[in-house]
Amino acid sequence: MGTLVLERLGPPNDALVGDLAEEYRAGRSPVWYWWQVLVAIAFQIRADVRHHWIVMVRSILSGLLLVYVLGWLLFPITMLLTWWILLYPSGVILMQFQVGLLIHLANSFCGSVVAGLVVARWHERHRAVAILGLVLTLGVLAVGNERFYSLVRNSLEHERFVPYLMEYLLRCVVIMAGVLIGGLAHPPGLAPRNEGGLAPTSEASSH
Amino acid sequence: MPRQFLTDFELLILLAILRVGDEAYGVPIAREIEATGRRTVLLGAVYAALERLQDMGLVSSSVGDPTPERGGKAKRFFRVTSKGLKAVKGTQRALVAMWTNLPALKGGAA
Repeated sequence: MGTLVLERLGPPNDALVGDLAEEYRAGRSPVWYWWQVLVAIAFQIRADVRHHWIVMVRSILSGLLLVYVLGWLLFPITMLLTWWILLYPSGVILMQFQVGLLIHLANSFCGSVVAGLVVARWHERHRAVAILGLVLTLGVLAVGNERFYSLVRNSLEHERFVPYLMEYLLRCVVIMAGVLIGGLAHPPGLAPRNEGGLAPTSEASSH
Repeated sequence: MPRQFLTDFELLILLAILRVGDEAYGVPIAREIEATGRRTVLLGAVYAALERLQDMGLVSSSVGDPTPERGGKAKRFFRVTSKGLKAVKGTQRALVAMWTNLPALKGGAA
């Protein structure tokens, strides 16, 4: 799992992946391994923010657009499914078990997975900053708007509003998780992963 | 404007490559710094610094053969270039010059 995350969000550097595998097999702990992976990703993000901030802005804007457009396109499917369930006599009972919410969440998840996949594909070489930047922006937008504050205010005043707040937060988390999963699901490029500043400066050695 | 001197970590990496010799790839470089520098080293930080040093032309690298114990990934061996050697000597000279005749450091450990 750590290798999968590193290969997708870390620096395009196979030597680092191999070094970590070698150390792990030599007896390092999983905590050590994950710490190394997270730090490598952090270094990659720092380098991308410094040198490729335009790519970061572009990925966030295109990702937001995709999330909203896909959510809008999938909304009729949510409505159709809900309507189809309600055609059956047991549909009303199912709706009491929040099936409607589950359909809504599933659609949001599918749309955000596709958005994550597309953003990862468009920004193959700067995937970490593209995907994590998009997830972070979605999180900031989720808690930085009037609807969230009114839901919190209402929930503090009347506990009957708490489920609405929970539903809102759950939907935001599902969308963020979907983008992250979609971004990680896209396989790393087939090109040799030694671009950046670590291209070999001489022919393959005899080591 | 290019930097005149190396950072302490870049200097440690160059010295570690020189100490390790022909087998200088990520793991031995990090271990050498941990052993002699008595500090914990993150491999991601080592590679980020190596990338900078390679951009500055202070180290060169070559790829070895992939091995199963590394998950089929090849090692990347590093070597200090003549420009890198010059930078190490220049930094050493600057540090020694700064060190000399410091009253606070006279008479043992600082």
